[in-house]
Amino acid sequence: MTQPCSVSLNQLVFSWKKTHTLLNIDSLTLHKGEQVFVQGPSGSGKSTLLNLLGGVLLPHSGEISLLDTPLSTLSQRKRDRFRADHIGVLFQQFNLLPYLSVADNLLLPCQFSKLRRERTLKEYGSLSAGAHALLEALDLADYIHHPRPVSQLSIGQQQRVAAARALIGAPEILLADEPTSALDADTRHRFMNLLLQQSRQHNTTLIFVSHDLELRHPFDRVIDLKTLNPAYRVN
Amino acid sequence: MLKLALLSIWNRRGTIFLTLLTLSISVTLLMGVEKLRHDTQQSFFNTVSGTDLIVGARSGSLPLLLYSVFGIGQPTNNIRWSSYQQIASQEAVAWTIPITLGDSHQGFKVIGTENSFYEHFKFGRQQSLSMAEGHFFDDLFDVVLGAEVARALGYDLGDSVVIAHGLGRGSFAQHQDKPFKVAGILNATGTPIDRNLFISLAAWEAIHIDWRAGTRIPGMNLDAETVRTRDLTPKELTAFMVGLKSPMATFHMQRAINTYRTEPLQAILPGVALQELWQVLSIAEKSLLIVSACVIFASLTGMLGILLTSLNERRRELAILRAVGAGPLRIMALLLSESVFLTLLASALGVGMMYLLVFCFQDWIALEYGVFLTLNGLTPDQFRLLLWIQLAGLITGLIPAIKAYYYTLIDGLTPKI
Repeated sequence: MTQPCSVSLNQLVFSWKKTHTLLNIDSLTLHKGEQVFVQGPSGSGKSTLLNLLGGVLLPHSGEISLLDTPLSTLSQRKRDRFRADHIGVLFQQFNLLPYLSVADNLLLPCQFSKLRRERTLKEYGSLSAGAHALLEALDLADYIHHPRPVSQLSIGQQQRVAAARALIGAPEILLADEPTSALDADTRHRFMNLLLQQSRQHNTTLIFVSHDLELRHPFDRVIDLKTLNPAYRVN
Repeated sequence: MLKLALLSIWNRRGTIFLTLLTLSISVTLLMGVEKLRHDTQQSFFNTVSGTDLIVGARSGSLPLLLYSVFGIGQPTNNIRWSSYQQIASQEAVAWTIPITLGDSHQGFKVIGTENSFYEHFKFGRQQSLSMAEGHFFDDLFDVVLGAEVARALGYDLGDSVVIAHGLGRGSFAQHQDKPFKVAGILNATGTPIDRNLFISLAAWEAIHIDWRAGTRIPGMNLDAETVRTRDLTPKELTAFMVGLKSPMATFHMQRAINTYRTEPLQAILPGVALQELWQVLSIAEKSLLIVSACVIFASLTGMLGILLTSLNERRRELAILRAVGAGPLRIMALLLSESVFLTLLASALGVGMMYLLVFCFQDWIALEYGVFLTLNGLTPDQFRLLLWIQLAGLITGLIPAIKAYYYTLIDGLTPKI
């Protein structure tokens, strides 16, 4: 327990229309750099949890602290700022804006977060150098010299660009919402390796939500929402 | 952020282009109608000034004003030359300008008058006529051209002009036996004068001396030289303008003319008649303005439809922006800036198109309808209309923006589509 705390949930309750409790987590603590696999069937509160961790939703009672900052004390605007600065988000698919180039998609967080832009500049010297480094790390070096529209990328390549975007500017937390569900077995394997390796390298806390149990093995910890969230069992 | 908005618009350029097109066409329409209204009013009140009375055969004040000043419509009857002379010789009268109408040249109306026209006629803010080239009547067969006539037909001093009997471009009966020579070209006035040709009353008499009832008298054919020896005193004229020594005498003079015993005459005050005419016209113009405002409303509704439809397709895009840190307000601003940008661009395009149309059609409109459109800057009224359009665009944009705001709140980081 020497590592600093990255995510901490305490007595968390989130309900829908007050009477219908969706999420009820007594206590959960994740350490900095920890890679966590969150599993659970649909309806077990996965998306609610992601939205709570992303600061989009606020719990009705209890507390969420990210990087020792209690989210409920922040205004919505500040929570958006906090997310831009400290959290990378990865969706199932269609992560990229079709009208931006690969590099511009990748650098999108640097447009919204001064902190992440400065971190990138500090680490790589320039934004494009940062983009190139991440593209290389995710086996997309080809796109540096031969830019092409996002629509010409395969789904696997798109997901890797999205992963690079979630990692640029070294956010402390990465929320991944079933990012492999649209990938076939080969690309999935490759994607998982790169994602885990890169988040490890940046010491990013990875919260990976999926119901594909085969993927859980390399993770530091596996959390089952079915058991963690008593509200699901009640329903 | 602006770059994002622009790129996003560019990405949907197909539908956006259509919206832009309809919107800018309706802006063109609205601005065009306003321009028409403004310039008509301007040219209306500028057509004649400094004239105290206009006298013609008794009809109504509007027809008299229309045919004598604007060259629109037909005079009902002529005035006897003796009546004209008697009124012109009154003590209170400072000057008169006789006017005879009925002939034309290539669609432009010919006015028979005297040199007093050049001396006394005033337009706009008491401006006098001035010659661009040459001089007013000197020889019998001298013709003076309005600026627009000279420009449109490409005439220069000394060119020969044959006047057609009657009005209309397709007039078959030409006074080709008595051609005129261009003696002078007037400077542009922005009034119907620019589209008139002027000949002297004597010349008018000369070209009609061997005509009766609209056709040549068979066997009687006087050539241009012989006619000079005849008595060319006119027998009739269409109307005349009167300048009085003192404006105090205006109403007295008007009454005297209206009750003139030897023939039914009518005298009108040009300012009052112009005002009356304007009131009639402004109703039509106001309703035109309302119709074009409705067109703006319709195209804004179209824009709203397209923005709302695209919003559904863009839910994913908005979620991505939200995930990388854009707040709901920022996304709202993105959507709002889109419609504001579209209305701005459409306004600019619309104004540009209006000027292009004015540029292309001002001659034709002036020729066909007697309305002189200018390529001046935007009037305060037009600016006000543009401002209203911007405001309407902003309000229209609020609807998808608010919807997007709620989408981002509902979807959060887990977009449904």
